[in-house]
Amino acid sequence: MHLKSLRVTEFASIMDASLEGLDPGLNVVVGDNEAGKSTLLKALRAAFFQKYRGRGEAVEAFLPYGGDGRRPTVSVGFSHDGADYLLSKSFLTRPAAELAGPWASPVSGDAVEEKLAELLGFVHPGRGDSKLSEHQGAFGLLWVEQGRSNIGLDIGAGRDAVTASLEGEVGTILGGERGRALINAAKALNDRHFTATGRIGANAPLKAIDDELATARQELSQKRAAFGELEQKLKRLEDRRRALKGYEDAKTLEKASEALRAAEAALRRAEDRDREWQAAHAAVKQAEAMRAGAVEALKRRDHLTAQSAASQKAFEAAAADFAEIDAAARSAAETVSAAAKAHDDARAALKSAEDRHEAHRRRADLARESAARDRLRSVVEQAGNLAEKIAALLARRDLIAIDQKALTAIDRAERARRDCEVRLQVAAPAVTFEPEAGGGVRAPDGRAILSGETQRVVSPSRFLLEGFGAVTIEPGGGAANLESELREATGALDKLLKACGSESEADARRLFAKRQELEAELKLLSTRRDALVPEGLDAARARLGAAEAAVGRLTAAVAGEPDGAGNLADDSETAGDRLVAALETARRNAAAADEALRIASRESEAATLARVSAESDLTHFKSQAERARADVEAAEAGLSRAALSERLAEADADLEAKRGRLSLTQRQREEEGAEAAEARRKAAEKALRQISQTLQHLRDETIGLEGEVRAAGGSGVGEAVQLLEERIADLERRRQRTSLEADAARLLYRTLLDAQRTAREHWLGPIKTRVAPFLKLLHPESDIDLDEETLELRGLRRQGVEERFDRLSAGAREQVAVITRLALAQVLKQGGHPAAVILDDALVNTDELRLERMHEVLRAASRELQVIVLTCRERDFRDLGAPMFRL
Amino acid sequence: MRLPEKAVEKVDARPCGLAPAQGEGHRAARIDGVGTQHMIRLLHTADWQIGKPFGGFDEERRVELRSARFAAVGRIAALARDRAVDAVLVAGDAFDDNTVAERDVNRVLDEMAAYRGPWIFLPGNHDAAVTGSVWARLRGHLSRRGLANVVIADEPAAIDLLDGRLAILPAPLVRRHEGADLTGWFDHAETPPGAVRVGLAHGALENRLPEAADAANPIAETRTTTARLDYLALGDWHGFLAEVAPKTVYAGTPEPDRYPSNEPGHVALVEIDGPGDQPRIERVPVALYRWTARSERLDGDAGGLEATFSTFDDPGKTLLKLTLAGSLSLRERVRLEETIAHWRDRFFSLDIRDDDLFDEPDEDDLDKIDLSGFVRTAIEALRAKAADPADPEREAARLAIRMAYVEHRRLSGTEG
Repeated sequence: MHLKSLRVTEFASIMDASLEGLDPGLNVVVGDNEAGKSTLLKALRAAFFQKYRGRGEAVEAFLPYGGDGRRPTVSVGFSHDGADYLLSKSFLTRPAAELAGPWASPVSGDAVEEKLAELLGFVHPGRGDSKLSEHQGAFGLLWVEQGRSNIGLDIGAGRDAVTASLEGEVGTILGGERGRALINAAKALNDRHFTATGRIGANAPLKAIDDELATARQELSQKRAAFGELEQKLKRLEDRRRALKGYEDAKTLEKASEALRAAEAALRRAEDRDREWQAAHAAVKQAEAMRAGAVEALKRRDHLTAQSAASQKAFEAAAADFAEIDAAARSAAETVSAAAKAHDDARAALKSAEDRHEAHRRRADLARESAARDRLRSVVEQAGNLAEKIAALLARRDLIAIDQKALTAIDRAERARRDCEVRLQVAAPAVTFEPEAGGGVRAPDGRAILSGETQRVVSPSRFLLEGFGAVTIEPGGGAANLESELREATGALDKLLKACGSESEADARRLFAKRQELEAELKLLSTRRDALVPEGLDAARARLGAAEAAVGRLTAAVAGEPDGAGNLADDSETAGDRLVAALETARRNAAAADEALRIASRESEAATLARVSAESDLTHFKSQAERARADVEAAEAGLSRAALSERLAEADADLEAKRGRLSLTQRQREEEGAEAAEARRKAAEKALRQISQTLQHLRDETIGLEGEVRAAGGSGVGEAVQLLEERIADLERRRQRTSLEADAARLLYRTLLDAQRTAREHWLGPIKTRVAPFLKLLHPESDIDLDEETLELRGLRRQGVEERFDRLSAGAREQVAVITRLALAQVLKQGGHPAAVILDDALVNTDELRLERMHEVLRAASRELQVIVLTCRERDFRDLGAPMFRL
Repeated sequence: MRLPEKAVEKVDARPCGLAPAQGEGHRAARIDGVGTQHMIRLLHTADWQIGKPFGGFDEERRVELRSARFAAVGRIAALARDRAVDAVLVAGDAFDDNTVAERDVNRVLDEMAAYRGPWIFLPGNHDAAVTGSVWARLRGHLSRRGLANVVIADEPAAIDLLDGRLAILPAPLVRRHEGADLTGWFDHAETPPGAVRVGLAHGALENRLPEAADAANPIAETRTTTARLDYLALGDWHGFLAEVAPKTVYAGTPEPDRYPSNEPGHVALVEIDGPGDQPRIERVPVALYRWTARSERLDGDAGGLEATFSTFDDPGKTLLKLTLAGSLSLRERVRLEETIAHWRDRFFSLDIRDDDLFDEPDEDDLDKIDLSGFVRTAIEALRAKAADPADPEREAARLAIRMAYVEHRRLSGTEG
């Protein structure tokens, strides 16, 4: 189909517009904003799809503003399937429709609408306005209103037309309407079992069976538990009954009673035996006592005899001991006498040695003391000389009364005098006498003053001028004072000098030097004296005195000694050493003699003591032995030892007999003791009690269990278990069947869907094939992604990267959308559907480079299709080489 | 063991005195029997399994099946009365479980009321005479009701009836599984001279039953000989098996409860002229429901099944377990489902096992699906799966193809 002409009058903003001679290929309609391009498209839609009698809001909008009474009219000339048609519709005012075609006469009125729907393959709405997406077939897709080009494809109902076109092209792979119905049916089957997410549905038969199964299983487990419990009780009951029967069959209770009676009899017997044993035991004890008495008497006699013998023996031994000890004591006394003598000798020898040694020592002392006295005497002499010299020097020094302090005072007084003198010289008037030749002047003191000699007058002076008389000069104030000061100073100096016996300062200094010299000499002498007698001369003299006294004393002592000793005294030191050694030997001998004496005395004392003790023992043993002998004799006189032995033998025989009796009863008692018998009796009693209790307990339990079992026995629980087991088996069978059905339904649905998807992918091929060359021009290496279900544009795949359509740039969106539309239009046309593409300002966002390429696309598309471009930018499409129409 | 005085008295008196006159022939026979003092007539039944729950069935059928078992007891009592038997021997498993409900026990006693002669009950493996067994409770009910004609043979001791002309030797189970032959004592059992010796036992006769039989309670196959029995009344095997060994009979369950076709639903009426004589055994049907198991092979055609179903006289009293094998085209499969759907409502129960019946879609089927486009692709994929023995979804794929077929036909039908 292609449009050939269009005339619009009194339609909205257009009062009259006309396009004539539209090319079957590419056309450009240029109009400024508000010129009515979009209205043109609206008018075209109105002509084809709006019922001319319509009065809806949309139709009202056809009226120009303030255009009551106007008659919006659209006339379209078009060619379709090789035939030419002329359609004319007027709305609102005298609505009319006419369609001229390859018929004898044009159709008019409502028949026009039917014819159009048939021709163009769309449906009119039951009522109301025609809607883009629902009622205008593929034209919604192909006639793009301004501003919608970048929204998507607006494919709507056009899908079916496209699908139909494609089916025509790719054959029957889509399975047609029946295929779609089968998918729906399969979906219904699937949905019976599964939710949209593939889970088992809440109302699915499988769920119901599973629920029922779960309930049955739970119930079964409860019933089984109940059954198990009953079985347990039955088992227990049987067990108890058997136990009870066992007791009864074995006459356990009777036997236990019998056993108790027997045990009681045994106990009585045992008690009798116990008493017998006790009697035998007492008899044995008595016999044992008797025998012990006999043994004891015999033992005592033997002991007595032995004691007597021992006493005698002890006495004899003591006598021997005494003799021995007595001899020893005597010997010790003799030893003491000898030692005492030796001791006295040693003592005498020691005294002699000591005396000799003492004499020798005193002579040595005398020699030493004499030497010391001589030395001291010399020292004292030297020191006395020195002391005399020192005394002389001291006298000389003391004559010089000047010392450092006096010298300093003189120095200071001299300086003060000189100072006064100088100041007086300065302050005193200078008088120069220059007498005429021959004249002379005399100073107050009478001397002659030389001419030209300047005289300082420090005090009122009276100069005699020869030839003149006298002149008295009295110096003014200061000079007079100074003069007195000087006098004072001079006085003071003189006084000081006088005090120290010097005439002048220089003299004073010389004196002072002399004094220092003397003092140095004094110091030297004192040092020498101090070296000789550091303790002082008097002390030295005293020591000398003492030494002399000592020498005197010693000389006297030596003089009194015997000569023998004195001879030795002159000898050397070796003599002293010899004396000392002799003294030491004598001392040692004396000490040894002392020790020997002491030991001898001690031993003698001990021997004496031992002798006393032995003597006492001897007396004691003697009396003891005599007493023991007397005792033995007395006892034997009473009852002889032989009689005692006989008595013991009798007691032994009696004890033996009684022991035999005891061991017999003991054995009997052990065999059947009262304790054991009592224990056995108690055990029997306990056993009887226990058995009675057990029996009672078993009977009670049996009765209780019988009651419980009776209550539960007829409850049909076994039947219930079996019923549930059978039901579960049945349900499981059903579940398996239903599960298979569900699986089959799902498999069928999925397989159908998969196949359909594959087929769709397959038949989307032609669209992509047509899009590809266009797209390559604009977006190389890219591919469009169409929703196989809705055919809507999903996006663009550029170099393998998916880009969602709504996130592409506005420019890319409109380009891709326009290209896809052109491709779809080609598909539609191929399928025999009317297809003409109108683009109303569809490429406003496209850049220049791409616009140029879009021109190529449009040109290529227009070789098969009519393409009408409505634009406000003439220059964008100037170079397209298409016929231009201007509004 | 001897029956209590009173019971024996009643037992002896009742068969003549109380049985209502129904059918002259029977009465004549009875009179003959009593008159000659020779012939013994017994009714031998077993395996009532009162209280069997029938869990595989829905509530309604379950109730009906359970009721049928009580009704069977009623019919047995009526038969015993009508045929004037000397005693009814119940060879074990009268009750399905020892915990059977009191109500059911009472109902059995009610149903037994028609026959006032001796009923000898042997505890079987289901109702073994263990502690707390149903028998203790039954005794309670008997004494409460003053019934002395019901004997519980729960001890291995001879029961003398008919003044010593008839000695019943029971081998009661006191455990569910004995493992040993309890009938051994029969060999040495003392009975009154001239008495007819009848053994009563529950278990598997050695070497005489199909392998499937439970051999937990064995019975020597030579027992009749070694114990000089004139008749050995057995229970446990639910089918009727006469002369399975000399003078040895399994009466089977009077009302079937399973599908195995071993002729259940009967009782044995036995006549014994005297010791050493061959017993005359009559098989009398007493069942209400018929349980049948069938196997059919369908290869490409489901039409034969209609005929199979039609052969059943009283489908409303029939439980049919039908095992189907073979393969069908989808068309035939759908036809089969329709046939089954129809008959399912006519049978008391129709249990179809079609695990071995496979769908084999042929070209006609696929033509009917009007295969084109992706549907063809999908069906091909499913067929490939269905044909691959290693595919875990093989079964599902088969069913999926059938579903597709059915849905497609439904859609086509709607369209048409």
